[in-house]
Amino acid sequence: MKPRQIIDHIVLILGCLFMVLPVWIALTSSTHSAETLFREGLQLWFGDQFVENYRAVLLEQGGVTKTSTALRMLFNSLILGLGFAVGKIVISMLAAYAIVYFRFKMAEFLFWIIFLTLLLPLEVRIVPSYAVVAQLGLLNTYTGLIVPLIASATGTFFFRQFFKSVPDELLEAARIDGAGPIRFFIDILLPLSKTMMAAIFIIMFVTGWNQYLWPLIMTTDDSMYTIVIGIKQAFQVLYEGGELPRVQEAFALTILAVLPPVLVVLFFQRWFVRGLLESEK
Amino acid sequence: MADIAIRDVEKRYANGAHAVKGVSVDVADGELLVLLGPSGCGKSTLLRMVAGLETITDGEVAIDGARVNDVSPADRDIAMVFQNYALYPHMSVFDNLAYGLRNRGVTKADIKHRVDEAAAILGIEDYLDRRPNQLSGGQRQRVAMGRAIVREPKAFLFDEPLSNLDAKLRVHMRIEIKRLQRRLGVTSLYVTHDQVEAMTLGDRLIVLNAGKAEQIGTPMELYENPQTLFVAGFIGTPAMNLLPGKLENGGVTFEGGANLQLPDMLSGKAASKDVVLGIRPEHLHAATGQAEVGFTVTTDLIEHLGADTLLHGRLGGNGGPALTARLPGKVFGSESDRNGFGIVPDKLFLFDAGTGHRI
Repeated sequence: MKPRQIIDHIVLILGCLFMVLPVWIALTSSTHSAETLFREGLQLWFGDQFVENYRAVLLEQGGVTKTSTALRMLFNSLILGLGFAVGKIVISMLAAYAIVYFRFKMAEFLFWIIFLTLLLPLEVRIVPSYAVVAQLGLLNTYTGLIVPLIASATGTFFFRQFFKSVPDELLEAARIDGAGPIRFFIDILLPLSKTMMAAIFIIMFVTGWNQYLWPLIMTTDDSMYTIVIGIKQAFQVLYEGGELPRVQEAFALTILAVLPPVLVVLFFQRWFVRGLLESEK
Repeated sequence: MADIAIRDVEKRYANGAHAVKGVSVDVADGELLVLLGPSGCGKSTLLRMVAGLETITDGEVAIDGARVNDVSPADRDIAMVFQNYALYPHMSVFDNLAYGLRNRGVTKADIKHRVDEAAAILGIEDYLDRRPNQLSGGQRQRVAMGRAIVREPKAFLFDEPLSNLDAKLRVHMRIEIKRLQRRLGVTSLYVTHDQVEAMTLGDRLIVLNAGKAEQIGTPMELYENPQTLFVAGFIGTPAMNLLPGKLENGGVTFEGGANLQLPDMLSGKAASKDVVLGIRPEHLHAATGQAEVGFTVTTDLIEHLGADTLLHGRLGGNGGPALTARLPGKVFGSESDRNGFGIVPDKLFLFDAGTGHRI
């Protein structure tokens, strides 16, 4: 190995440690008792309280967060993440299908309007969106949580680019084979978009899972809290009140919150790379 | 099976481009008509109008006697083979063949039967479970043909189906397509820019240039009797020698001063004007001793092809028009030994340089 490579590797390893170490400390510290952590500080190796801590976080109402159980919050986040990702894929695929395959006036113009909304983050429209959802009586519902976020300029853009790369002859062959617009979409376009859908699913699921501001404003009922809000609550509770801070349970909650997105990425990783690098055609 | 009638068909695009300018041709039942022309001549557009993939601006297309201008591609009962095959990449070969039948509500047993039959004809029975990306170019080509065959359509439309294959395979598939079309007897339109493909495949050819039909006829008619300068230059390899000159006093004077006295049958036909004299390379032969109509040519390059030899040179020395001769067999000697050529008088073509029409 050349000296240059050794230096490169040292830099990379240091970078990895920098990223991984906090997660590692959270994981190991979450397996100790509150007393140990209080007396000896954060731990770098596993303790013996793994089962107790995680059981408490997952199942005990009013535990570390003083609100609902982590199980409930994980479930809410899952609904939000799935609804967010699946909804975005459905809506943006249909929008892109219309833009690419149907000739209507101002199609290009409308696409650029959609594209421009990429520049506007959710925060810009959060007050009007809240007003609409509130007046529709959708506060503290999954519908209210998901629907206002469901349109996706990013998704529409990716699917548009992908559809444009599908050879026109496929459409023509399908037309001659007697496939109408709906048949063509279901039989040809949908199967071809599989890898693209997987890639967008990962991005969108993680984005949905990590949503913070919108659920925070939207939900006032404890039972609708998502795990990300739960973490915030946990750390708020941590330093209030006189009892011993339950740092170990806060760490356990954090680890639980990180786990599903990590699993999704690991599971879909193969598809993810292929989808972004362009698939077989 | 059916005949196809194309009458005064026009295509104008929204951007004003005039791709097809009033083409009329009738394709008889079971005939294979080749649409031949350089790229951008409107041949693919014409085919796509017959398929229903492009709207017809003006004129009429009729299949089996019924006007189909406003009929959707699926209902025209035609099958098309695309240049890039356009196989459905996510479907097996079997499903590729079966897809069109399923959409038409053919029963499962019938589909199986027809796909197996088509696969047997094309020799692709062993690949039915494979995906298109697991097949070679020639196999994909067969699958694309199969997709057309299973439908048992009134007509086949081929859009440059061989141009993605390498030269050797192209010759092979060309013969297969010809055999298949003969055997099935399905009326076919075949688009190509390759004149050899056109000559060997077509029962008749229609040569298109800039959206217009230059000439329609059998391959030999077009070869032996080209009606325009364009057809003369397009049909035949190596291309016909086209020598611009001035017609006067029963002879043609070429650039550089060379003169050729025309045979009687040609010389009387026109008054003095600018003309182009056409002579095919294969109709030049080494000069014999007899006094005959002939050229003096300065040969500067000899190409040995084995069966034939090509001689390139200039008529009447430097400054004269370029000329190629194709002599049978092997030619001995060097360039400088080869400078006299005889002409077969009745194989001379005279074209009006202004209009491009035959005189």
